[in-house]
Amino acid sequence: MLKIYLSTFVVGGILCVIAQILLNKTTLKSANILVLYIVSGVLLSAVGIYEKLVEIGYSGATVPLTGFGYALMKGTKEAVVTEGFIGVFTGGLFGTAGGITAAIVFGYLVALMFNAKTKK
Amino acid sequence: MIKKGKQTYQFEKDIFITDTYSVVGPKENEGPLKNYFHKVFSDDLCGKNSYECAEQHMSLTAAQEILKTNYINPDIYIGGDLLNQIITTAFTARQLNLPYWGVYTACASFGEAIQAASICIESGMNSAMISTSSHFSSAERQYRTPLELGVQRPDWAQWTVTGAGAALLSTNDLDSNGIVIKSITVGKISDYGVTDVDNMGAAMAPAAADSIITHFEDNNVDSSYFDYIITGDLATYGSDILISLLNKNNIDIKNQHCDCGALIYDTKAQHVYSGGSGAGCFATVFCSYFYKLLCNRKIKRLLCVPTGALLSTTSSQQGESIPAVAHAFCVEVK
Amino acid sequence: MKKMSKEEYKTLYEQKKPKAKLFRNCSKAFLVGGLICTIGQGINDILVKIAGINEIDASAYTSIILVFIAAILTGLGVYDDIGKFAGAGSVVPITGFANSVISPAMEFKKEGLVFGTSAKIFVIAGPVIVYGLMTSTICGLIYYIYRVVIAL
Repeated sequence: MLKIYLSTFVVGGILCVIAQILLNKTTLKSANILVLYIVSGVLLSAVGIYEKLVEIGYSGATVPLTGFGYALMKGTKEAVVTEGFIGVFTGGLFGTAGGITAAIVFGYLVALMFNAKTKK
Repeated sequence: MIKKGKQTYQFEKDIFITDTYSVVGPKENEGPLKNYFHKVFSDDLCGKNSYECAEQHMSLTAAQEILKTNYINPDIYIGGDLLNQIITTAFTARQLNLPYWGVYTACASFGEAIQAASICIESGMNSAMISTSSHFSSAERQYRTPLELGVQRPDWAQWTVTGAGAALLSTNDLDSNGIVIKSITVGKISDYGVTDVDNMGAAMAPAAADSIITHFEDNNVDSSYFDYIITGDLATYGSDILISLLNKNNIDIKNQHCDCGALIYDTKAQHVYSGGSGAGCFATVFCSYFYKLLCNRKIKRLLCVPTGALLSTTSSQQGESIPAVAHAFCVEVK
Repeated sequence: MKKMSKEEYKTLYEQKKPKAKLFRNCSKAFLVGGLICTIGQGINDILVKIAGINEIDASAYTSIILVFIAAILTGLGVYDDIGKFAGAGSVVPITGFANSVISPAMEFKKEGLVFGTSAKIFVIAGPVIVYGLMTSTICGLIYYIYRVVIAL
């Protein structure tokens, strides 16, 4: 069990370190890096490589944004198998519906209740 | 008004800076200049509904305090700020009921306002009031990112000052301070291809260098003529670049130079990256610290070179580099 | 001022840039990023082993719960402090995605709930969704064609 948590910690940490290096050493900004990560997650899942990382890293591979790309691609593949051509369009959002809907709904509710404060 | 050299104009009338007023927020009150500011707001919302309203309140407070203590109705109010359509200054002017000109050269706006007001007085007006302001939170949401976004900016970035500075110019030395605007050097745009929006210091340093060199050549003076040469918001990193640029032109201002962005915060203790910036940065520091030094005769000759980075909220996304300008003015004690 | 080319100037100011504390930044990113993922794993395990939810639903619930936690931290004004400290460690996990949706929602409330909050809610995260869906749709199409070809 401890091994699972250790792998999670290390894999997740490494994915963040790669982004930090890109942030500090290149002219890429956060937004560019996030786009790079989600596209990489989709592409690596499409060719079957990301599944291996998920087996090793558990949530360390699914929680980062590459994992979001993995969920997108996994949903698309499954929808193509079960629904056919329409799955190309419906599968991605189906796989990530929970996260996106939660972000919008909680975002709106939090915006109602709280005000943005100056950074310190 | 006498034209000297290429871009400098010397005034024949005595144009006195008779009074100033500075208003800042809580972070500025934790910096090295905290005892010099006229008024501090401990809440940077100033009890208002938005940061834009708070900035207007600060700008209005600075203007109203000067008018209150001087029993004067200036012939014109000239002001500027960082927000789109310089809306802060427009709403301030709305309350003041004075003839109004809005100016915009980003963080050099105070310099531009001084230049415009001086020319007005040289041409026949009796008095003018100027002010500029900025607010960290209103600037952040317009130019950068939402306040609650977790973001890490590089060490050469800068922190927008929350504050406003106002000054009263007149042909009468109302408080007998004897502080006059001797000459102005109207800046030209410099653009050396800096595209990083976090790198204002590098974008603006060439403009400051250009205006300083032009002022020296036009007036036939060198750095030893001045007690201080102050730039607006190059902060620590931009100041370093400026000194190097001037050295390459055989000019050494190391002994006279200070920068308002590097002075207003403790760059080591406060989380401000390389220092302050914003239209309120030069205004608050000049209208408090340096004006006091002039009043107390601690300094007699000051070259002020506020700098502005003239990007828009979309220009850099379109791949444009950042043009900059520095509007200089020379202040002397009679 | 003496003429200076843009390249010469770039060399000058790049040389004067304060050195980024790369090792320190990476360590902080590693710790915080790893921690958030570990918390995600913990939530997943509680849902599967204690609540008896199946793996697939648990995975979706974990995302939702992490988004909820990020929402509260963003609302309380804590997530931007975490971001200042952790850099990529707070941006890369799904909590960073949530923060990038919730922070503009809060920020632009001043312009009203329709034209502010609702219109600007994806101003930061929009590219992530657009590029993610673009890529998955194109890959999905290729996958579909591949399956059709295999079946023939």
